[in-house]
Amino acid sequence: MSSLELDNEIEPRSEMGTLHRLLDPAFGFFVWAAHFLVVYIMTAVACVLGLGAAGEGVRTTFLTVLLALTVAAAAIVLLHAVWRYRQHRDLPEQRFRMVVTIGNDGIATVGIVWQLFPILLVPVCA
Amino acid sequence: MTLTRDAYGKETLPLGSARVLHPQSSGPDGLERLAVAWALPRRFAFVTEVNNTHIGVLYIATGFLFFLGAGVLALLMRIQLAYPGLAFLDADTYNQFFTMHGTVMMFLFAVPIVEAFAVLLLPSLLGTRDMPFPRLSALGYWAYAIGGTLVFSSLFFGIAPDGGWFMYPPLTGPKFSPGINTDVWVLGLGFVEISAVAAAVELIVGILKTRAPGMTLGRMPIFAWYMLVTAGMIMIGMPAVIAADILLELERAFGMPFYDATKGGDPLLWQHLFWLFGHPEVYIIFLPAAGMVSMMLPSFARAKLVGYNWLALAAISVGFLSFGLWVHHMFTTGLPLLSLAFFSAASSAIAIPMGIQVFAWIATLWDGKPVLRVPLLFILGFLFIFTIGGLTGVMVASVPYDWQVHDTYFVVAHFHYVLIGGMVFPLFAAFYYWTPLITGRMLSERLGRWAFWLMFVGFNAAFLPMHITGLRGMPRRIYTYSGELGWNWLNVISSAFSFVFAAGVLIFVVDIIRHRRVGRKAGYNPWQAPSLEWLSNQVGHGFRSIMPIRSRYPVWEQPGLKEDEVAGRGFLPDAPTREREALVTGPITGEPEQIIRLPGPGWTAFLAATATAAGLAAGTLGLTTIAMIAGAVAAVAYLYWLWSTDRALPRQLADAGRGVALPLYSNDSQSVGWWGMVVLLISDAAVVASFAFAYLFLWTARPAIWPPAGLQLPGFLEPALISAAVAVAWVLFEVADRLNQRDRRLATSFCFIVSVVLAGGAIVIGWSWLHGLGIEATRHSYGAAVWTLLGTMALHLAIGAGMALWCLLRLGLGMIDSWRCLTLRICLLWWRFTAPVTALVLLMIAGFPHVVS
Repeated sequence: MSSLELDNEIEPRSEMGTLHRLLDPAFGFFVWAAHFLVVYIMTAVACVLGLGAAGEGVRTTFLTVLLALTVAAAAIVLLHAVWRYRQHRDLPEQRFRMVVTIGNDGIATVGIVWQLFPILLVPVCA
Repeated sequence: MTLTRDAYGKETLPLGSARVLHPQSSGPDGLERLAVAWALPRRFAFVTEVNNTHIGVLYIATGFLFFLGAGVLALLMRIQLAYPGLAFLDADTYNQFFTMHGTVMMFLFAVPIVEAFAVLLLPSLLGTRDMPFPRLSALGYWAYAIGGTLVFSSLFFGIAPDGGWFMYPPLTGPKFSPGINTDVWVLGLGFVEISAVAAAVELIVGILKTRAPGMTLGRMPIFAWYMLVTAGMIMIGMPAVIAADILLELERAFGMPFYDATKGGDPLLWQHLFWLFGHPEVYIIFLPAAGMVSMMLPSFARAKLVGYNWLALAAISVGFLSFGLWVHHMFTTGLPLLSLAFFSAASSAIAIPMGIQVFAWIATLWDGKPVLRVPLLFILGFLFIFTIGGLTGVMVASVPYDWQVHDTYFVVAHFHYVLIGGMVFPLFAAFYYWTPLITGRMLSERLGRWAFWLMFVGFNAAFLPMHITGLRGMPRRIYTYSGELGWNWLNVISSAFSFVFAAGVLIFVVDIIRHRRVGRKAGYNPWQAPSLEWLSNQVGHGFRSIMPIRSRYPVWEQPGLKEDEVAGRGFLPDAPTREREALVTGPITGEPEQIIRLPGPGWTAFLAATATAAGLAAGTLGLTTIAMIAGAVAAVAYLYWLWSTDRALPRQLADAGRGVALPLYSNDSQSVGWWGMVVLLISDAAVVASFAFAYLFLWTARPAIWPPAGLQLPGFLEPALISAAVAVAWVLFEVADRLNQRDRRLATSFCFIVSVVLAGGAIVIGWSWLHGLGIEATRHSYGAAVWTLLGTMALHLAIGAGMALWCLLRLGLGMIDSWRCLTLRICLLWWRFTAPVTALVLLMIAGFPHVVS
């Protein structure tokens, strides 16, 4: 089950900055973190500003914004995964980078989409 | 084969007519020079040694002693809880014991010992001689050892911390904890936390920059991936608790009301900051242990890891997701339900990468032909216990369930299953596995099996009943209980079997002591492991020569590796500069870039750590004169240390062996110093972000009074002036770098001087601005938050000005020129961070009250 062919990989030099190349496989999680902070902080601030006492329409609008942000974040991560797949699929030496990038993007997407459960099921500012 | 840069698809080095310095010898003369350069100092001078093999062993031994100490505290508590109404420990002592048990286990045992394993093993696993900053490792170790000892010894004087290991205010505030117990915790552990950040800097830069040539990111031993993620988490997570500590001490010492609800503060701020660190802390402990398990498994399964790529990405995923879980320690604090649910969802999401790891380990065993030796026994114990802890973790990730069991023994049982299962069992596996590498002798297989079974049975029999004790309602942290509550027999069982667990640990201790005399000689690679550490010798320099790596399992897949290494056919078979050296390689491709000279034994790190610890201890005890003297000694030590960096080195290329010539010096982003500063600045950014979070969070606690009545809204003129001054100072630093490249020393000096003046001016304007607004630091949390944020940025500007003066001095003495300019560029990084962040902080302080009012 262990794959031997991955052991012959050497990453060619790239014009991308080193820090950028180091962090790119975790792109999905940077989006996840940004999304997580945004929805959490938006909820906290909205409740402080009195969303709990606002009308049903305002609360629905707020939840719709959260929903849209979540869908957008998930889409960005998935697009990143597809982009990297198209870049690396024919480069055996980039196999490790591709698998890690797509795997991270996949888990990050699940992490983002998972936030739909609270957004769709839990009353805001309760 | 001669490895040249061509192998990486790069252009060849411009060797051409350049003179190559320091030709190397693979013969006995080269070996002799290596041995001399890496020789250990004798007798008491051992405290001056900075080599990772020496520091790593001391580090592990110290961590294990703290484990034993905290374990004894646990046994004493279990005696007290064995029967209802016992008076073996009084309430105050019990409070100190449970606080110190948790504190010592988490801060003085678990985190340091996994860092210690990394310091000891990573250089060998990565195929290098040492990490890039040995003195930083030594400083981190001595700071931890001395600071930790001071904190632990407070138990013997009745001044030990007693507010629980997470030290919630208001209990730990000046009103309810007026003694110095809390100060001991805050200052002592603040010191230890800073040493953890130092270790993180060393590990990140070491893993990225000092690997064997050819070891790409995809070929790193999996432990290096785990440690890279762990060190990144320490880099981000520890600053949050350091910030919380600073705020608590500011409240206790100067009355700045961050956590005092009567003055606009909020105790929940502590909980947010503490758990923002505290939850990742669990994974900071677990991930290195998982990395060690992943290193050991192939040796016993006799097969390669199944899913190396998946384990690497699971480690990265856990590293990120763990920062989205902190509120699951705060489910009962009254936060909005939707907020709780976000964290509940994230807590469930982390089960995915955790599951990937467990399945990868099981699949590796399935794939091979496992040999059941003692380390594998401990690994199997880990899988069993940790999985149970993980399952109860999924239970408490559910908000309604957590409400039922919060602060009960169910939670105590859960986190002991996670921590002892997830960290202590792998650690004991690691002890049995790597002890032969250090001592050259095997631990006893027979005693090891006894130790394992006693620990395994003792642990499960002690902690499994605690789930039921908790479900029956027994709260944590009570020193005794009534006999009619149905908890008696459960507590007797837990107490009795805790001693069985301790007996297992004791057998291990006996084994460690006796094996030095009677243990079987280990010989070369006793476990037939695939990784590089077994090639390194029990000598300071480790490898005879640095071998190019072409596989994840080099010992299994690179024929003749050992012979070539011993014959000196790798890189650096000599000590060409007659000093300690290591190869610096590219962070992604592992291509050789540079030879660095590493510091040898010296008093600097030891003296700096000792003096800092003495200063902090004396300050805590109110011995001001001693504190000031110790502080002065520490300052001199640090300044001397800084002065000794960025040494003059010849500009030519030096022979690195195998037909490759490399520079001895780098003044740009290839240098390890540049990377060290980047990592440090990320940590620093996390501290500033924590203070900014505190400001915004305190507003959410008191939105109607921001700023409080009687204070005018801040204007924008002064912030604009300060930002402009800081921006010009930064630009002048940039200009200084360019002028220095053209050897225009006078103009460069002028830029530094004006930078200092502008930074000083910005601080003065800021000071008078706050005074003019009438903002007081002690009257209201608003003022406390504003002063803390702006004070932090003023400190940054002062340090930036100090850097300009430092560069000016070194320039005047000829220690900075157009080639030797790394110091200047590292200081420039500081300004590139400080100037924009200062402007952002000013914008927030000036603008936010306008937005919310």
